[in-house]
Amino acid sequence: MTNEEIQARITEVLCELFELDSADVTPEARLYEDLDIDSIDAVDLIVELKTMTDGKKIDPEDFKSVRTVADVITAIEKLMNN
Amino acid sequence: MRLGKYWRFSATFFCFFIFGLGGMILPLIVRPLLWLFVRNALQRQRVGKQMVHYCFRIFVEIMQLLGVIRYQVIGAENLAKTGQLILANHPTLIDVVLLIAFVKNADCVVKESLFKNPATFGAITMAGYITNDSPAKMLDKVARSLQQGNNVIIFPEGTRTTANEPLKLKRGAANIALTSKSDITPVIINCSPPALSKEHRWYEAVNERVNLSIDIRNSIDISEFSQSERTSHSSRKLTRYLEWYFSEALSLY
Repeated sequence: MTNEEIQARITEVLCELFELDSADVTPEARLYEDLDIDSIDAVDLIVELKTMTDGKKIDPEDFKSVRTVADVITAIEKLMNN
Repeated sequence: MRLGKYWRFSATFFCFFIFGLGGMILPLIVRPLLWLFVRNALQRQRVGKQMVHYCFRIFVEIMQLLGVIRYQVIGAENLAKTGQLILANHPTLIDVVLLIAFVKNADCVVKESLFKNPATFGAITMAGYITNDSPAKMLDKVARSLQQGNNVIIFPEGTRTTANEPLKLKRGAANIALTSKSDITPVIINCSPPALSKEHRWYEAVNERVNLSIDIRNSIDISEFSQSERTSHSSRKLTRYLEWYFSEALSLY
């Protein structure tokens, strides 16, 4: 997957899971403050993102440092390249 | 009436004073006794919860006797079950005191700062109330407490209600109801005239006697919300429903 594809897929997942408008899901958007994604949603998100990374799961501890959509994209890219 | 005002000022001050003093001293006396006589930790918390329940009940009666508040409980029969998830709006500082005073086996989710407050620390730890520091852990703890038959009180707004603003709920309460498959017992608290809210200082409550009513409603069946396969969807739907429910109920006051 190219970076654009990753970004597009993550946007899609976020919109689908959390009833968001894709226009709001910018890389700078903060998950908690701007997109109203709470820590319990994050569990759903981690599970869903696993399908992108062949079952490799983001460590919930690492996910704590994830603040923005861009951070999610970076985390997924890192997992995919590992 | 001027005399009434001075009386209520003194009485309100006195109530805060005994709440603080009692909150510090009673646990100091009761906890060692509990340790001595109740060896099982779970049982100890259960007795602790009962102690807080009765102390708060006495405190509420004192407030009423002194003319600080007048309370009214509607629908008390809806509290007969065990293991209920009780969701209430949160207009005043003393809502939780009133609820615990009337709900048997009450557990409640309290904000972390109350663990650091010397007036509340003792009662909270003695009763084993649940802190809201980590949402995931809180979810587990509430589910376990419901299973143990406690009635768990949560203020889904997460903080006291801001008057004249649309009611906004956090999704935590809906998440809890859905994951622990627990129906919701809604409680509508009304305070008239508005007092002890976020906008009022405690001594502003002295112009008139404060009328507090707690109205325990029929439970809300959550099965129709749990059909969706994703918690993120159903919790949003349930939260929207609860926001509507509480707003509707409160608009009638």
